[in-house]
Amino acid sequence: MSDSTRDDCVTIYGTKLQSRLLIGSALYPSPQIMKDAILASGAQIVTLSLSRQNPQANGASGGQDFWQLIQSLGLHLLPNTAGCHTVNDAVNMAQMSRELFQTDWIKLELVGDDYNLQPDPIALVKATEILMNDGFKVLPYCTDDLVIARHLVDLGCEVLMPWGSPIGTGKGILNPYALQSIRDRFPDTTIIVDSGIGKPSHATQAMEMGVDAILLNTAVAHANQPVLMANAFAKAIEAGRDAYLAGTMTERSTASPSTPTIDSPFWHQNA
Amino acid sequence: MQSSNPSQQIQVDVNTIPFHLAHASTVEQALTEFNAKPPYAVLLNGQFLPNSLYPNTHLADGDRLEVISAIQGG
Repeated sequence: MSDSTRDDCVTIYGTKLQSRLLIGSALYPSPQIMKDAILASGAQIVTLSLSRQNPQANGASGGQDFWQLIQSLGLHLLPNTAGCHTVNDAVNMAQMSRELFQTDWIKLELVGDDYNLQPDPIALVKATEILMNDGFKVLPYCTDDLVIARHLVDLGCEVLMPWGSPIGTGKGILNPYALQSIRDRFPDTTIIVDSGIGKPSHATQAMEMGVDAILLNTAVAHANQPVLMANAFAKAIEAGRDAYLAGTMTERSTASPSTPTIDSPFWHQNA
Repeated sequence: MQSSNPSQQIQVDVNTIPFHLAHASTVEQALTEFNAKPPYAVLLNGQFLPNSLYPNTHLADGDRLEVISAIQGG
């Protein structure tokens, strides 16, 4: 990394972080692989969620092994409201998360359609307003709709988490124009691509567009070698960020020689 | 928490499991009966209940408690 980018940070509601990779804690083949992959990613934020406790089924630990493992990593926690379909459910889940995880960050997810887990934009805006007024720092998972993004920013969101494509699909950035529009329209808002990234090249593409960070889960956890893939994504995201800062060349429709041809041994002036 | 007098009992569902508790048992007592392992958060009839209210919130017959803890998430 060059000296000019060494101090380059992403800001989450005033918290400055070196890593532009946020990582999920789900779907890994084992707890140890999860831990190793998270560490290999270099992420400083890990996402997690809430579920009913079943002390009888989970033995003496009551299913708290996961919690202890996550705590041992010493990372910032970003709880989500996955699975919520109503404003009331999402608000209650956020309130439980704040008490349990001692953080006012909440990755607000509100499913509007189970077919593609597309966020419900109307419920999302309503829940965001309630939670922001209650002191939460909301990181809303949204589509790449510019107007919904506008409503969320107007409510005080300092971070937006638009999708690249639906959760778990690995299809990458389906609508680069829409994502670029959000980036360009809200230059002071932290933009994190939250879902649909399947390959490191997808992440690089998004970072080259100027988004601030990438949240990954399935692409790492479902790789044949999650730890190696976490490392690959870390490099890809850093490469994309450096490329954005460096400024890419202007694309042209016609060829232009890279090697000077004038006075080469076989140079001749075309008529 | 079993009582010798059935008329003094209430039934409360804790994570969908029915528990018979003494009349006017508190949330804190129900959590003990459930053997809840901290850390956790609680919903009472679908609404978040701050932990400061566990000792003084009395349950009624048919109440539903959800004891929630951390799991993996993306």
